[in-house]
Amino acid sequence: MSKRQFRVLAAGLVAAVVLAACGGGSTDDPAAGDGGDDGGQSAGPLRMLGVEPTQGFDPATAFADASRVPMAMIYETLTERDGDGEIVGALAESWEISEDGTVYTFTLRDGIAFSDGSPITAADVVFSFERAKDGEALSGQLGTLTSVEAVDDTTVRFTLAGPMSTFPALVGRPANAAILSEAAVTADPDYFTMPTVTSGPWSLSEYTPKSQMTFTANEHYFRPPGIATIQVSFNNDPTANAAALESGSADVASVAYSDAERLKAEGTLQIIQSDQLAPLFWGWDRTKAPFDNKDVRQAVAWAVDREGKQEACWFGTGGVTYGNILRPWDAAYEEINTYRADSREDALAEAASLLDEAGWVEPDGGGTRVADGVDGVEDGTPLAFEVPYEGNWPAAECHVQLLQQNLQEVGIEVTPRKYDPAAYWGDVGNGLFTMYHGGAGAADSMDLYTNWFASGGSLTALTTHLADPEIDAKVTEAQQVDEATSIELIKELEQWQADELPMLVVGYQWPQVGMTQRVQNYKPGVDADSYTLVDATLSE
Amino acid sequence: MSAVAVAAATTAGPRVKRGWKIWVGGALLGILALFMLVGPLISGYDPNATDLEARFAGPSAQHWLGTDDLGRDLFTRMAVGGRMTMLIALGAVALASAIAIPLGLLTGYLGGWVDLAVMRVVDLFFAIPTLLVAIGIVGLFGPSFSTTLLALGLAFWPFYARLVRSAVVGVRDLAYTDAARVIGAGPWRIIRKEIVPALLPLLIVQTTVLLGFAVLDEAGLGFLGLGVQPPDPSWGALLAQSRGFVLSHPWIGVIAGVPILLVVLGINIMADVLRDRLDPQGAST
Repeated sequence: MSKRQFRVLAAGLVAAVVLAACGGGSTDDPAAGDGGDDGGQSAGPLRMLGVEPTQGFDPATAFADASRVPMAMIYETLTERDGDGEIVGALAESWEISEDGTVYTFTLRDGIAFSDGSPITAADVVFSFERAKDGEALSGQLGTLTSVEAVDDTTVRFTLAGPMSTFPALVGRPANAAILSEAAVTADPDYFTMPTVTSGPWSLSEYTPKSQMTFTANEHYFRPPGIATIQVSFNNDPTANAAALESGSADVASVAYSDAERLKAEGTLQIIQSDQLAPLFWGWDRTKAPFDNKDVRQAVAWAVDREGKQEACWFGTGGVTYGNILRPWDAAYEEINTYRADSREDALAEAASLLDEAGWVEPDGGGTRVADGVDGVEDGTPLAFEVPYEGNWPAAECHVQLLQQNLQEVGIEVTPRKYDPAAYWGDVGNGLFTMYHGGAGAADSMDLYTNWFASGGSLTALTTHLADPEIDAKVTEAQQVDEATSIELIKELEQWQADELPMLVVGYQWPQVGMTQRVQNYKPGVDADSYTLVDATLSE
Repeated sequence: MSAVAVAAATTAGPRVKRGWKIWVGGALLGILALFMLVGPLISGYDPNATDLEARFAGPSAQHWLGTDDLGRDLFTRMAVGGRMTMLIALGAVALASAIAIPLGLLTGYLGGWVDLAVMRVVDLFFAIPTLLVAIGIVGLFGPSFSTTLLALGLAFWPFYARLVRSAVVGVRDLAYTDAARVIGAGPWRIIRKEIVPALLPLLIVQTTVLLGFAVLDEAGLGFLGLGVQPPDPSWGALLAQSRGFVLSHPWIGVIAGVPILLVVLGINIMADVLRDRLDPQGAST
């Protein structure tokens, strides 16, 4: 290259950089509002980074948080959980429970309305629950609902086949127990493509697939949101979130655990963590070998290094369990140490012994174990399988790689497989995977056991595929008895899952949320609801 | 100064440059090849073995290039990852050459509808950026070592085929090919004995240049998570992995990126040298 060519190239590069810098600064000013202040609201917009609602906006069918979180912003429920996790009235001002615990009568707040100003009536509640009962998301849990009727415009009565102490929580299940406008839904066959007449704190004013959605405060909502406009940009790459926050191009985003540590130390952003019940688990196909054998499941439970994965992949946040799912501060928690050993060597010895008993033996010279007398498996078949994980979850990638190393130590060959996040949970539900990585949230212990392990639970259908009458009876009983007895029953369920391992829960994560200093009064909720977001404001 | 002396001075310049290039290019590629071949042997580490006590360790006597988020030895992973990257690059270039050279020869020599048909397919590929073609193929078959190789090979052949075809068109009507035709040589013999030897310098240089592109595109695919899958290392995958720690542990990204730069630089220098040697008329000055 001649000197002249070099100079021309250098000048071109400098010009490109200057133009790019000018262009970057000429668009939206992050601090600029979109109009005047309205009723004490921060004009915003609040700029959030989130994932696209890949399952749409129909509360009857969408069960993934990607859809439930935005749905909870636009749809309100009869009850909801406040920032401390207590059940409080939302659209319902109060409720009464009959003595036998089978009839629940909810009274709606006075003057509540949908975003178009039309009143929310008991008829809308009836319509919504009749629709939910037929939908995939809540049909199982509403199985005992025998009737729902409007007593008058503001009173609605639910009758159940049996008592259910968790019913007030169930009608507050974010997004899925949404109260819909009967008139709007029946008038438009494509209503759920872009729902506009809604009952929640915000309305969906713009949705551009693969790009972003914008929410505008619902002026008719009973608890006016502190922020008028929220803009959610879709981003499947959490490693970029910290940079977006630091550069000021976003206000709120979940951040990777490695970034959270650094940002906390720097102190320029607010980093808060949600201590919601969010277990991390290994799911498996228990209908066929090798995981149809409890010994193999228990062997894996012994072989995984729980402390190591929490430190390496979640940077020491969250917690570790050796049998429990519940956290130490949950009322029904009683420490279970089924898979805790004195040393790593002891744990591996337990695992090896169980695998031997199950008929998966080490070949001469070591290496991957092979079948030797395993039912339905040809002798000599290696104990090897793929373990998929969601491709947009860095901690999951880390976790699966550690699993590979852990199980290699006992002769199990794991091949990590990065999976398309959009197809992941659908394929989990279709039973395509021998073993897979997962994480999900639950509002409380009863929500956990109802949703994850009882027949009809949304995660039961997706992951554990259980249909055990004994477990169903115990979960149902736990909802019908007094609190102390209910706690004892949940303790029994905790021990049962630790022994049987319908899934292997190894700990729980606390999502780390990063925020710029503009954002005030916001803390992550205990579930997918937007209760705490309503209280948030923006400083100018 | 006599005319002879001037002539000697003008030829001395390029010779000095070629010598410099051979040494630098050869040294770069030689050192990197040595690193890939014997690196894992001398480090003594398994590239995938984790050591959670040694996470994010900086360069030291135990770990010459430090460790990653799972305590894996970066020197070993870079060496093994380099093997993966180079195998993919070499395989992709071999595949592209295997498709493009025969097709280019055939279409260039025969012309007519064969030329028209194949070149329209090439045009179709030209309408889409190379990396996008590769991403599409990986999306179709799923990311893996073999898919990456296949994707890059299939993405590269159209460009190469058009180049070969153009060169053949330039050669097929020259006097010596006409002479061969006049003395009764068949098409196969003319291609084999007259055209291919004339094209060899171009093919060698072009293949070398393509190798550099293949290394870069493997890194690009790996960075997008579409190349070799974790925990197996490749340079692109290691670069992608380092992205998560670019602000907290930036040296990991530097360690992952520098060898890519060096190997592509080495390949390009060697391509320059080959071009200068095989095609003195077009030599750089």
